[in-house]
Amino acid sequence: MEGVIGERLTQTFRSTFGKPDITVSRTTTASDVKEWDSLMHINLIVAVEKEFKIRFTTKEVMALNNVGDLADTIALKINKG
Amino acid sequence: MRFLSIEYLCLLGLVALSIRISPPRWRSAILLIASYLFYCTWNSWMAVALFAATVLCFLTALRLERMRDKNTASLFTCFVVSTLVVVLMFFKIRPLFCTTCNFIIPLGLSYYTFRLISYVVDVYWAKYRASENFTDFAAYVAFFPQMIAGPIQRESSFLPQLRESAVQGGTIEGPMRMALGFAKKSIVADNLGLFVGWGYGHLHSGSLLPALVAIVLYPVQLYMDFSGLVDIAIGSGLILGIDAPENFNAPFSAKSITEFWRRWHMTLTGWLRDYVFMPLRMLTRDWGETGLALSLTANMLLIALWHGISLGFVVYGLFHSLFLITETLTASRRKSFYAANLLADKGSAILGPFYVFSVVAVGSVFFRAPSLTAAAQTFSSLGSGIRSIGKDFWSLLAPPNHHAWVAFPAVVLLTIADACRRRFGFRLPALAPRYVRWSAYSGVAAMWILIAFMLMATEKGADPFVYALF
Repeated sequence: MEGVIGERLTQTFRSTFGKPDITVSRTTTASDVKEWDSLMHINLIVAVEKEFKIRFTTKEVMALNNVGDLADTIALKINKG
Repeated sequence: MRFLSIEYLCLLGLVALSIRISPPRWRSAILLIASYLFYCTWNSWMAVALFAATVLCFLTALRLERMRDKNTASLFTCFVVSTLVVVLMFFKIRPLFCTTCNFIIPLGLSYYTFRLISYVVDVYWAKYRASENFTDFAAYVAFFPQMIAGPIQRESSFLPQLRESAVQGGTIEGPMRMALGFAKKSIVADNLGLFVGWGYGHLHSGSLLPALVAIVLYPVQLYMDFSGLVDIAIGSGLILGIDAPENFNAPFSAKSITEFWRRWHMTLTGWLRDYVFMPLRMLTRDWGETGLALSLTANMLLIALWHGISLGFVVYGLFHSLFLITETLTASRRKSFYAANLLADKGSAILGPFYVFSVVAVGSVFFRAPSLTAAAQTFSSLGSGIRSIGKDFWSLLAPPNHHAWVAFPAVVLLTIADACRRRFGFRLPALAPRYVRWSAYSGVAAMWILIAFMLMATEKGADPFVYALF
């Protein structure tokens, strides 16, 4: 993924899933990554919150359809400060 | 009107014919009228309640989309969802407080309540747009093949199918799928039910055989009964041009209890994952493993209590959650261990299904036994020894069970047939010659004429489906 958020997000994916070679794009969904189930999804959200020092609401997390949505929500929250 | 009845087959045939000869824009209206007709054969007043709930959620979703204030939208969603849950709980709990009352639980209440809740919450979460066509939405909520035992189909997969220009396929795979369900129910589940009933009725006979028969055969009976019911529902849907999500995926081939629950009653577990487990995990995400264990337990308890409010179901839920928590908390350590020990990995792959079946069989005692005392009696009977096992064996095969042995070869044959269906489907090749297609049509028609005669010949029809009670 391109951009600062994209690079940091890729790193977060790699450390959460324990796969140093994993690559994600804006269209990546949970069905594209074998280990990405509901348990890992929350682990990922917690890792993203730590990495970007933000806090998601349940509604924001449940509305996510792909990694692009996640990146957009992060950008929105960072810009809001 | 029951699933295994001539009346149901006539209604299905009539609706299938109507939607094929009428313009596509009439499809929703035809399905809606047929669904309410089906519903009214059970109870007309409950049809009014279903209609009222449908109108409430349809208007709620439209209103939610126009709301600007987030807090108001949140409160409004909570109010509507709570109202639906309270009505559901009222009907689930009421039998506990009034055992002598003769009252009716609305048909399919759990299923349509779950469909309505997911619709309202999805619109609130802005995952999907609210439907603007009431007929489409009402046809989705009341869709009669899914009213008795699901599967719990989401609006996002159902509504677009109503808007397709023509009804796709369904002429072979629909009736074949229904026939598979009919065979699972009437050849396997009903006959195994005789053995299980004998087991629970002879716990004090002097040997461990009755308890063993009851514990081992009940999970198979339950699976064949429920998956048969769902096969009939999915097959009926296919005949009407609606492709429904699968509810089972060979659950007894799972290698862990976690995997088992991903393969058993998949539309219910998926629903609870999205609308209960995930929001709960979000709330408890700062509590570490305790939060995870609490969320898993709450989710599993809800799955158990969905079947009914009783101590047996509570124990059933806690029993399974114990295994789920243990498996989840040890997952990464087990993964590392198996990565380093390939022999142990292969061994676990072979032994996994045996472990799963054993846990499910033991847990099912709390599901099936009428009380906790009866469940304890079942387990204690396992220590009765084998002294009078010969006498018990002949009692097991005495009438009315003397023909029920047919269930055992049928389990094997139907499991193979189901595996072939999952792998290849019941579809004819697109370019199959005309004689192949017409041979298949004639074969399916002959099979269903035979089934219809069987239904007419048995005055009472098949035994009621176990899962139709929930």
